[in-house]
Amino acid sequence: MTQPLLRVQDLTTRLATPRGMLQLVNNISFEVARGETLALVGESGSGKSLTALSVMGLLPAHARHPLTSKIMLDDINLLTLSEAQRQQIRGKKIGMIFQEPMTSLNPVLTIGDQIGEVLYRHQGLRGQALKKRVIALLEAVHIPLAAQRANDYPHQLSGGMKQRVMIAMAIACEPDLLIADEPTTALDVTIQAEILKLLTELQRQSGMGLLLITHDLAVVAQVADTVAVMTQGKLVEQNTTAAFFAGPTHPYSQKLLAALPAFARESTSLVSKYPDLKAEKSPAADADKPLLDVRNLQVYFPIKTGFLRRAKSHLKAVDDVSLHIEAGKTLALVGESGSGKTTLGRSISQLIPATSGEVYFNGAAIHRLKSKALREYRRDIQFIFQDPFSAMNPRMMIQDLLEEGMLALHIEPEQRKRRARLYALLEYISLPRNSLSRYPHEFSGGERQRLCIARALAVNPKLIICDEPTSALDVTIQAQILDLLKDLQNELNLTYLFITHNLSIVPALAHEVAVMHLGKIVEQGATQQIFEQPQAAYTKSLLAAAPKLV
Amino acid sequence: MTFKFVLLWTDLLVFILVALLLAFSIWAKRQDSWRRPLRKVFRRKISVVSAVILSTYVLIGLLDSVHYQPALPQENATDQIHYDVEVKSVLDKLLSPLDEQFETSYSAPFAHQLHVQDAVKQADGSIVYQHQRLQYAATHLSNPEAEKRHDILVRSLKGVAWGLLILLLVTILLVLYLSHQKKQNVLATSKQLVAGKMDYPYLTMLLTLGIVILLASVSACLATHYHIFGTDKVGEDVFYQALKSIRTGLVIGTVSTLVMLPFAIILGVMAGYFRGRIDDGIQYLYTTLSSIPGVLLIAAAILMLQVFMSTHPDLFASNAQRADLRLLILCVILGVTSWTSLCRLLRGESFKLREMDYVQAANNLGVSHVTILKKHIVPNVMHIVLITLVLDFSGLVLAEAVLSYVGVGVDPTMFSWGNMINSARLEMAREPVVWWSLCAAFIFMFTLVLFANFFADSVRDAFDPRLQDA
Repeated sequence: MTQPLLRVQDLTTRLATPRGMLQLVNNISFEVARGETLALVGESGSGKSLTALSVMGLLPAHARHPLTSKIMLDDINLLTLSEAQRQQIRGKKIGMIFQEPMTSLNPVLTIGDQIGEVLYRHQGLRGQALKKRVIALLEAVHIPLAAQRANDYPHQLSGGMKQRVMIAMAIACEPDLLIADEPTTALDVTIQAEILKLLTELQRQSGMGLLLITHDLAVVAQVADTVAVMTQGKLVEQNTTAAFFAGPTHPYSQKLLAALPAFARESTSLVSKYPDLKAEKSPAADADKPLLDVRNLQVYFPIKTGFLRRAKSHLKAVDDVSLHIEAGKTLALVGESGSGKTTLGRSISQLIPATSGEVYFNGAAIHRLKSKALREYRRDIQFIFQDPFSAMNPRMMIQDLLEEGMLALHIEPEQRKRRARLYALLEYISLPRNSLSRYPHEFSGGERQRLCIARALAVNPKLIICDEPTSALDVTIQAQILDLLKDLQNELNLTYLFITHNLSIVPALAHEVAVMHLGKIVEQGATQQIFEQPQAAYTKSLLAAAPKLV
Repeated sequence: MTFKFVLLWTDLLVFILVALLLAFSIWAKRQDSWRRPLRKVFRRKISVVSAVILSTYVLIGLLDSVHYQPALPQENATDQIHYDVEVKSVLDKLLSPLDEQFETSYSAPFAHQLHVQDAVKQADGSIVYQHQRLQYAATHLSNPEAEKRHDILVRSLKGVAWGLLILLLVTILLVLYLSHQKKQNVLATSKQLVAGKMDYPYLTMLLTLGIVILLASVSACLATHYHIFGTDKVGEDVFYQALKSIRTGLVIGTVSTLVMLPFAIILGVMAGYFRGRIDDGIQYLYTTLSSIPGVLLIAAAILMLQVFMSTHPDLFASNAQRADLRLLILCVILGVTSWTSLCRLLRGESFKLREMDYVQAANNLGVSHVTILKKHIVPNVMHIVLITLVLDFSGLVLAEAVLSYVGVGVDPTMFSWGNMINSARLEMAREPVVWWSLCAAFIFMFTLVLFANFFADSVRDAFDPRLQDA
């Protein structure tokens, strides 16, 4: 075997904090060969991004490495280089792609200028040669009409396009090593598939080494040759991809793999896995009145232009949507970002006024109600938000947060009973009683999401609208939250409207699925039917793009 | 001695403010979200230095805010007690007899004779121009030219000795308090203190306090026998004037913000949260207000007040009350013209907050708008309010100086740095130049504004969420 391109040896990273040294990465070693892809897998806080930053030399100033740590690129030890020397290597020999394409591009420069800057710095290109090379790069990452697009500003591009531009910048100087830090996490599933395809294609053409950092095992299965699993700063398992998925040896790897939703794990029949799905189409359910009945709902946002800012046209966020959910069932609303699914959820709970259409809840027309009368229904429809960090007021204690709705809606006005109820709620979400006198920042993301669920439950709702409740969470925690939601549904006979972009979690949870695209519902039906015989072309492309471990 | 308490309007506001500040610090100590940044503020040396110096100013201002009218001496014991029309403060009492010793005209710092020459008729009828001896300064010296230097040195050393004694006492008290709090012996605490191994920079605090105490005790020992900053045109001690101006500066700086706060917070938060018509209305209001030059509004208000006061002289029991009302109106008008920038900031911030998920969740839980504003929006914009308050304070102190210079500031009879600077206009044109009034006003105001700015910087660094990780 030839010499590896990148060899990380006994890498330890410590941060100097006021309370002493904090060891974040602990003695890890791995190698990346030319033309090979190594996936560094781990949950947030496992030290995987820090490792990537060490390789790039972009660590914060108070980070330290012991002398035994080595990062060899070919035969240069990167850790011994000066900042000026590292700058020569960054961009030229190592390219990097970041997670957030929205914030990684400078909004006031055209994308052509930004790619050109890299070329000018490292290769000294200018004038026509520079322009040609920029266009060639944009074409290489499959941006249509590259010559015109080069003059666009970042805000004129979609998320996927921006990530392509980032990739173009990273490969501009034909680096030997490309580091991709969660390159597809912020992107929709169909776009994610395209970006991954692009990355593997580029790698094959140029024979670079690719260090892929991700938390998504399904992505790993598609792209990587070797997998390295990190947890709490340590490398616990390293193996070829095939061997890893066939039988992970370390308990943490097994846990990671087990936490993957069933859909991603196997692409064959769902019915065998979930026999109860089959019995879903009970005729009795049809006779029941649905708990939520949405008819021809439209939500338009005016696009104001011109001097007097009159509404010239409308953005049809939700366009003529009808759906219904029966009591005790879960409807999954699936769609990519911008499809209007969040707007639909908020419009159902009357947080956003509908332009037209009807919403019936338990037979009552709540779209006609004004604020006073609407308050009666507030307790019945509750929300769980995507980001548990912004969903709780950081300056309120958990007790105040959980009590807020009870006080506002006069549930359990007596203090002693209210306290008992708070304890009961904490028991549901399995958090200790002393959580009540703590602040949100003392809890982890998963615990916060549990608290958000408890807050929603506090007012005895019938319907809970879950807006991407797990997409901000790590995969093992995601599984816990989904289990909790399922348990609560069985116990309290809750009804869920589950809004998500992640197809893989749908089968485990939802009885019915509605697929939304550009404000319209393109397909709706029982989960099994949608997953096994999708009718609409869009549903088919969604299913095809979802990453699987095959 | 009998006396009658006088509560001026601004006194009342000053006391309310101090009470609010105390209440807030007790409350903030219990709130985790406030305690941490505040602790961060007081861990920085520069902010501890600033805090000590600002507290000295506040202490002087507070002493100057307790007013009373002393009883006039009675001829017989049975007579009804009459009170002096002149309102005195506790500070006057402490500084006495500085407030009553008037020379006839200008005299330089530490001078024993007047700055100007007077015509003196000699016994033989000829007129000689010469510097007169001062009536109250250096009177104990028979040959001032020869003895003064030595006398000043001796008195300064006496002051230093006193100062060191007080400092020692303070240090002992602090060490005792700290060892009591930490439940360890005194020796260990002192060692930690000297090594600087405490949670807070107590050593820095002691050093600053030492400088303040030394300055105070030295000037106390000197001021009884000399005019350490000279005297002004009517022979009044400039050091006394500068000390009395502290209260005016502090009142302007704090009461104006007190007036401004409700406007800024209520309107700003409402505009950002409700949007739509309410937002439009509030925006129109503050754009209009901020497009009128502030000086114009202030001048108009003060001139109107002057007319009112001269037509209703019977409403005011004393000159102090007149001057006080003018100060109060000045604060109000400064507050009314300066709320717009904070309002704009708060509007933007609440605009962002209203889209936060927790506000949406509260909405969905049926919580009323007022409660949402009270519980979710206002507490989350308070750091901006605090930052703006401390930053604005020094600006307002400076604004007073500028306005008094223009002639629309505080009452001319009131002590203020602005009035001192205003009168210095003519003094600077004299030959030989009279520089000490301007210099004293400058030193006192500069110290206050400088340390207020240092403190404001630390507060901003500690509370600004964007700087949190740095």
